[in-house]
Order: sequence, then C-alpha cells, then structure tokens
Amino acid sequence: MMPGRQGGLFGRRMGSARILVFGGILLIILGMALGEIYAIFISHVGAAEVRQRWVAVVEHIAERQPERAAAEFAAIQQMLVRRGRIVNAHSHIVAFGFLALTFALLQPLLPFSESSKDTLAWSTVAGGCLQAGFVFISGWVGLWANILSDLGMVLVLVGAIGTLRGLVRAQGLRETLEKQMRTLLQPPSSSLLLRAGGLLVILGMVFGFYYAWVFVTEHEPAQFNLLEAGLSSAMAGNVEDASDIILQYRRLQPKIAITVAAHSHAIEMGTMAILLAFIQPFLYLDERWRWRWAWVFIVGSFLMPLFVFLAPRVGLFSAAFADLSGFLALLALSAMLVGAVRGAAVQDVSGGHA
Amino acid sequence: MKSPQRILLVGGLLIIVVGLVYGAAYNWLVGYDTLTTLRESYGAAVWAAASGDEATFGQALARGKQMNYRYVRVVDVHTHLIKVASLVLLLGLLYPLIPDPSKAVVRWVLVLVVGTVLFPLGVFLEIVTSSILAQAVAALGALMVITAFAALFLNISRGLPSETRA
Repeated sequence: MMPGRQGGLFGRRMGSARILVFGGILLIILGMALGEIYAIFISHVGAAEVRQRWVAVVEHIAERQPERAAAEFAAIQQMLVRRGRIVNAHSHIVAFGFLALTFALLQPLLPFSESSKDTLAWSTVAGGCLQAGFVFISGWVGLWANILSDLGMVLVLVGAIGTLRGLVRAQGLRETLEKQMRTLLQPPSSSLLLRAGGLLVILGMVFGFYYAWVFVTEHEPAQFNLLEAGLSSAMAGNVEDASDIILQYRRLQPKIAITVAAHSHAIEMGTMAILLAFIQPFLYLDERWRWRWAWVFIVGSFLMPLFVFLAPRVGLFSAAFADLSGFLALLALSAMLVGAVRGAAVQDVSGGHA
Repeated sequence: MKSPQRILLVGGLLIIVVGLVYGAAYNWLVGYDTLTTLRESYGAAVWAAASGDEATFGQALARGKQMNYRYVRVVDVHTHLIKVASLVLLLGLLYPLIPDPSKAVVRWVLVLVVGTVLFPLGVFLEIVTSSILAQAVAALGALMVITAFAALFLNISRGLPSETRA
C-alpha cells in the first residue's frame, strides 16, 4: 500500500480529526518525556533524600525535639507533594492524549457540522494541555494555576460531552465505521500493533488483579503498621530499632508505587499500541519502516513495565533498562509522528486526492 | 450501528464522562481537604511523638491512616473509570471486525460494560464501608472486565488480516 493514500482521518487541513490526531500524539509524547525525565533525574535522587530525612525525624523524636522533627517531616511532605504533582501531570497528559486519539476515530460518526466538530476537537486538546500543564506548574506559581487547570478540565468535559451527544444521535453509520476500520487496519504493522497491544492490556489487567489482592491483604496494612511501629519505637527512645523499621517503611512505599506503575504502564502502553494501529496508513513511511517502528514500540512497551516491576526488587540495573525501554517506545512514537506530519503534508499538496 | 456496538461506544464514553466529572467534583469539593488533612494528621503524629504525647499521637496517626486509605481509593475509582472505559470505547470501534458476532459475543459486551461499572463502584464502596462485600463487588467487576475484554479481543483478532511482514 502506498503511504498517505487514505482520505478519512486526515481529511481536511486543520480539520477536527487532524487536530485530535496531532494533538493526541503530541500530548502523549510530552507526557512520556515528562515521565522519563522524572524517573531518571528526580525519582531516584528524591527517594534517597526522603530516606535520610526519615531517619532524622526518628532521631529528633527520640531526642524529644518536636520542632526539628516537624521541620524534617515538612521537608519530606514538600518533596512528596512535588512528586505527586509531576506524576499527576504525567498521567493526565498521557490520558488526555489517548482520549484525543480515540475521539479522532469517532469523528466520522458525529452528525455535526465541520465547525462544531473543530470546536469540540480544540476544546479537548487545549483543555488537556491546560489541565495537565497548570497542574505541573501550580507548585511554583500559586493558586491561579489551579484555576486555569480546572478551566482545562471543563474544556475537556465540553469535548467529551459534545462527542457523547454526537454518538447518541449517530444513526446508520455501521457500514461507514466497518469500512473505515478495515481500511485503517490493513497495513501489516496495524495488525501487529493491535494484537500486541491487546495482549499487553490483558497481561496488565491480570497482573493488576493479582496485585490488588497483595496490596489489600499485605502491603497496605504493613505500610500502616511499620509507620506506627517506627514512630512508637522512636518515642520509646529505641533509635536503632526505629530507624530500621522506618527504613523498611520507606522501602515498602516505593515498592507499592512502582508495582502499581508497572500495572498501569502495561495497560497504557497496550492501549497506545492499539491506538497507533489505527494511524499506520497515514504515516508517510515505507512499509518496511512502519513495520520496524511498530516492533521498536512493541519491544519498548513490553520491556518497560517488566523492568519497572523489577526495579525495587533487582536494583538500579533494572531501573536503567526501564528508562531505556521507555526511551525506545518514545523514539518509535516520535518517528510515527514525523511520518504522520509528512503524510498530512503530502495529502495537502495533492489536494486530498493523492 | 449494531446495538452491541452502540452499547460499547455510548456506554464507554458515558463512563469516561462520569469518571472525568467524578475526578473534577472530588477535586473541587473534598480533594484538597483530604490531602491537607492527610498531611496535617501525619505531621501532628510526628509532633506528638516528639513531645511524648501518646494520646494525641494515636489519634493523629489513626486519622492519617484513614485519610490515606480513602485517598488511595478515590484516585483508584477515578483512574479505573476512565482507563477501562477508554478500552470499552476502543472495542466499540473494533467491534465491526468480529466475523459473524454470535449471541455469546453480545453477552460478553454486556459483561464488559457491567464489569466496567461494578469494578469502580466496589472500590468506591470500600471508602464508605469496611464490609468484605465492597471488596467482593470490586473483585467481581475486575474479573468480568478481564474475561470479557480477553474474549472480545480474541474475536476481533480473528477478523484481522494476517500480519505478513512487509
């Protein structure tokens, strides 16, 4: 198949589908890049500092110095708030990117005028950028960022509710959708991404089901018990025991966060592979390169959650491979974005009839 | 549109909208309070421990644990509503690829949509009740989602062209 030969999804210059496809991929790339930067430069360094400060908290409790203990604890809280804000922005940007890409596929079903569809598309993409962007910077600039972030959320809701209204009103479009799906998924790289993505989603779900049991019965109670035991021990003046218990608590907390991340990343990367399957025909790339980039994305997507899961169990070696796998997926996604931009340009030059 | 496909598309997007509204409403109404109370409770526990005030330490720690337990589940409900419903929506788009959907396939569609509602509902119930029933509802919902997604995806895969290397 010649690349860039299909009209549908990239139909109009700056049409709703195009806004959603490019907006969606850009949001996902930004979200993944933020996740990579956080994992490599902030997470590991921050974890070591939090550990040190917890030991200091325990020592100050044993010394009966509430001001100093509270100051160390406040510093820990500040770091955790910053971490929460970055993770929040990362997960929201990627989720909004998924939403935008999915909405792009729904455009042919919506019984609205082109300008209404464009407005809904801009609302979704701009809302996603605003919400996540201002959550990210809210810690540095103050309350007004939260207000703009909430405004972004309202815009995303307008896009989602408008699309829902269109879907409810959609009639007799089964044939259109069936034909579109068969055309979109014709390239071999589409089938490959779709099958691999579905498998990864199922693996992520099964793992999540298993870990929910471990979390509720083991990790969550252990987390609470260790914190109470550590602080009680410090109160009784047993600094050595208290430090030991608090360090166990600090080892368990990232283990929980990372295991949950492995579960959610498997499902997210699987969902992304399914979404990327739909845009393969629009990539102005040789079929062999589409196939290669699809494989690069799949390898990165399967290895990343695996190495993330192993990181607290095996060590930094595994964390480095998790970062590398994430980078592979990001690289493949960027290559596909370049292919999509070239595909859209070719279609524009040929007036949509190439 | 075929009826099961409409259920997947409209149902999926409706659940996404519910998830977005839930996240926004929680954030506006109680989100900031929960996080602030969580931090203040643990902070008060640390202060009380360093002051040797065992009674306040116990109370503050219990309050912190309660807020922690609640916050984890609130975020869980929000993310699972949106993420699982996004997959439901994608299956709605892929549904036409299923060659000759049987009654069993239609049943899997219903199982998937019901599971997508039950799973976060069970997690939400865990916030308000410590009954094992809430955990059972969440587990049942999750199991329904996993099995129905796998069954539907298998059927969709059968309708895909074979992926011979380019």
